[in-house]
Amino acid sequence: MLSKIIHNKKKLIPAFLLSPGMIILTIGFFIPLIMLFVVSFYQGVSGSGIMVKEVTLDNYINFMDPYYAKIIFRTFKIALLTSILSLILGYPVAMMISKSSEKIKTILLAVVLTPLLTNVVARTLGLMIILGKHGPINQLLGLFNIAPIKFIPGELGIVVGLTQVFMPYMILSISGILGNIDFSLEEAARDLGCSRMGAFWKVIFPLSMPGIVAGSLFVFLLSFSSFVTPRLLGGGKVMVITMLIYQQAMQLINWPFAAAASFVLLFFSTIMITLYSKATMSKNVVGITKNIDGKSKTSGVRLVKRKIGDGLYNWRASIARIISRNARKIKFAESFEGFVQTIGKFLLRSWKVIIVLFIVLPLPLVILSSFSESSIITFPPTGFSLRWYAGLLERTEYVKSFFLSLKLALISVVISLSVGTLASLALARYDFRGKELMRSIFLSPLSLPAVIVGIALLRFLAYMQWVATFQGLMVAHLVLTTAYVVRTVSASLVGFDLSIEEAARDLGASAFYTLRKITLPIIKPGLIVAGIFSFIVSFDETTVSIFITGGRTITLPVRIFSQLEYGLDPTVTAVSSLLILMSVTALLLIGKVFGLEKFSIK
Amino acid sequence: MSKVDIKNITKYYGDVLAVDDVSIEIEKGELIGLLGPSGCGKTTLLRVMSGFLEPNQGSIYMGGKDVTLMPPEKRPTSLVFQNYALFPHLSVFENIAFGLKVKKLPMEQIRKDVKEILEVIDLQGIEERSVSQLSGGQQQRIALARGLVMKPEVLLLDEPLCNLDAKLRVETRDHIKRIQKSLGITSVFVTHDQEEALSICDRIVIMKDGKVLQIGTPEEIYGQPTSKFAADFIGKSNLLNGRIEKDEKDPNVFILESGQKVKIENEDQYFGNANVLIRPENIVIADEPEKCSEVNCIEGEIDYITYLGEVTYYRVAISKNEQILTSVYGKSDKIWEIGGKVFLSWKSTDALLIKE
Repeated sequence: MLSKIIHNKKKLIPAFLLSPGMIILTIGFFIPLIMLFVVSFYQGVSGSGIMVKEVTLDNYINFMDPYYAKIIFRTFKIALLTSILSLILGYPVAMMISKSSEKIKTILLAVVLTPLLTNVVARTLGLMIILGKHGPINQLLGLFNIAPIKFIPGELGIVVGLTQVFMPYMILSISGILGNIDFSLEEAARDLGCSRMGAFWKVIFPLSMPGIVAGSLFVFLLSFSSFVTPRLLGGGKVMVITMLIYQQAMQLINWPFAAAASFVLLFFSTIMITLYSKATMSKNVVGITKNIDGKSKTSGVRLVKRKIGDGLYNWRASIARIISRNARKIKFAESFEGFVQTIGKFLLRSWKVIIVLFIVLPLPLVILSSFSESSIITFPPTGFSLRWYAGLLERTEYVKSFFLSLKLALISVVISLSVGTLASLALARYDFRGKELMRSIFLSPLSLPAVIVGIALLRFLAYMQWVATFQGLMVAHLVLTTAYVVRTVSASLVGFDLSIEEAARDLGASAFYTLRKITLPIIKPGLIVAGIFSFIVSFDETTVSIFITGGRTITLPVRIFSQLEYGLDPTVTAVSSLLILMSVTALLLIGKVFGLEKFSIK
Repeated sequence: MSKVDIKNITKYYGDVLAVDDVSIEIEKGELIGLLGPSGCGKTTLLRVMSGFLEPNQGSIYMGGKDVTLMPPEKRPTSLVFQNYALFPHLSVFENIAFGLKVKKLPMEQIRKDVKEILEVIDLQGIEERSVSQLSGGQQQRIALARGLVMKPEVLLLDEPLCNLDAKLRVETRDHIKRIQKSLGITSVFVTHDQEEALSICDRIVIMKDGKVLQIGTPEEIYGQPTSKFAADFIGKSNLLNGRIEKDEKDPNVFILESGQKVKIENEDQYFGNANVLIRPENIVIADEPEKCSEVNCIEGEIDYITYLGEVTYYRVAISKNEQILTSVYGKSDKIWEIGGKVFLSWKSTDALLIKE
């Protein structure tokens, strides 16, 4: 009897630990999403905000319309090009990271991670400067007498911009895999007669495939559902699916159609996420080839396959033999080969430098521009002045927004850190039914496109009459920051040696005393990083906030965003510089507490 | 199958001298062992030979041709890696065929060569398996086959046995020796295991701190080490400190630290401080001085016994600071115990003088 009560009591502990987080998620995430789903089946009247509450599939069927199909196709195209570009640009950098010494590795990781932690608006501002008609890229091209390229506004600018913004994820994903590859394999290939390049293509590249697949899917997913960058670099003229959602919801006030568009977006992202998690799962099976001696294949099929394979090989090999035989006849062949190799090495090296510059440069450019004297942003900046920083203090709207963002971020840290840590403890320490489901529920706000979270929240807050209120923003930020805390703290609980806690209990400590004196101090680095993270996430949050701010409660990033929608303004460069400075500080802190190598990607 | 000539190779890693002016001549078809503790430069030397490292000084000739600056892919060498470095994404067949495909040989030829080499290493019918499905010993043999199938002039083996368990190690090393002899391929075998080197190498190069200390056949290395290090590193040994004094009439008398005198062979009339090496198996143990069968007869007390089944080691203290290790093979007629008083004797020809 007594043991049963104790048993039941034990069962209640995880529920108790999880409930604060669940309350936040329910209010800020699930109810809004359900409401949005329901709305997507209503009929809307464009431009009026009126909804006819009759269930219909019209909103979804409308997507067959060539106009909307085109938008989806364009979004796909941009995301695909971004993934390919990120792969081409990112691979050499990932290679460099995995092959360099510890010291250089840390520097490179910092370089790659800084943009990731910087506010997306500040970064996009840097891109607007760099890609501008008279920006550094076009000036460089001018030196070679090449006509300027019109990057922005336009699709090309969006692709280049998204690549700059998301390439770090590709790099981290690939370098993670490359780090596990035994590079003596490359030597083995060379010992067997491969050139440096041959060894790479035949051995290293196929082995890094899981990283490439995971990275590409991730970049694709992020590009597909990004909003701020396409909006600013497309000048509002390039229609992608997120833009469509924003336009339908905020400008045409056609709620049902915006909701349906959100679920179309959600549908595609879910496919991507499923593929991504499958790809990352198979990370562990690098080193196991497809089971060739599977029983399903009959020997006849295998024989035919082998014959075809052999034939193809022989064909290629004989051509290669003829080429090399003739090449040997030419006297210069060998010296030419050496020449090509030297040039190739040089090009590859400068290529890497250019890519790293491309990742970092937008940020210093913003800072550089903020000290310009001129009121038009030019490159290189003219003169030196602090007028834009001084001017900031007079622009009371910026000061107000700053304090609003600061307040939001600080409260987010306090609440999400406690709520998230409790939930992480429940997920790491207790066994209960539906635990894995619980974990994915807690992390789901991270994998959902921010635009959908934003529009769903707007719908809900409108119902509650909380739009453009502090509590409305608070709920939105808590949903996101709690998820980040759960992820970071869970990670630091993974390698935790439980016997340490048992030792404390064995020595007479109570459960609470053990938590206070043993568990929390041990996971302190994780908690600190989670805290820094939630501060940054909240302070930098842009996309969701764009939907639910207004009037007097406009956060700082949204303020910059709406300024940039109308064009470049030097004041914005000053604010953005401060945001960048904040991110760099955060990165240094994280690096100090945790080490950058352990930094996991989103 | 060609002669390898290593001439004055010196290699620095930054400021650290890894290989210090090493010269070795390797005969055609010879299996030579590079033996030494970790950090002695043996692997560095192997990597210089395979082409992955460029020496700071010196040159390497293979079959009379200078290959010092040749990249690894162009060298007539095959390297068997310590961790095998099998390509995890390729099957057994594809692993072995890798180098042949790079050479662009016709497929029929490749299939034939792979089949033949699998026969040589005695592993048939596993062509389509994934390499990760193989046992350690099988992986090792595939790595060997992958190198051998290229018909290299020189086979380089970098501690090929160190990832195998003790029993498999013995089997595999004999296997390697057999294949090496039947193909007659010039081979260099890097190891830190003296037993491995003694058992399969034609000649052994003892290395320490980047330098070559001694080159010789296993018998020479074991029987006539020229340095204290070699004497100590190879096999079990008794190294006794002492001196040969000029005013002693007989130069063949060696005075131990404790003042006891033992007979040695001192052909070139060396005088001064030195060491004497006596192998445990050359020492006869007896319980009475009358039973001492050889000239030297020293009294001592057993202070430690190691029983290993086929052999028993007795450590005998002959003075406060000097102990001598002796071994008794098989079942002995007499069982000694710790604290027991015994007499040790050996031939003067078994006491090797090491001047250092």
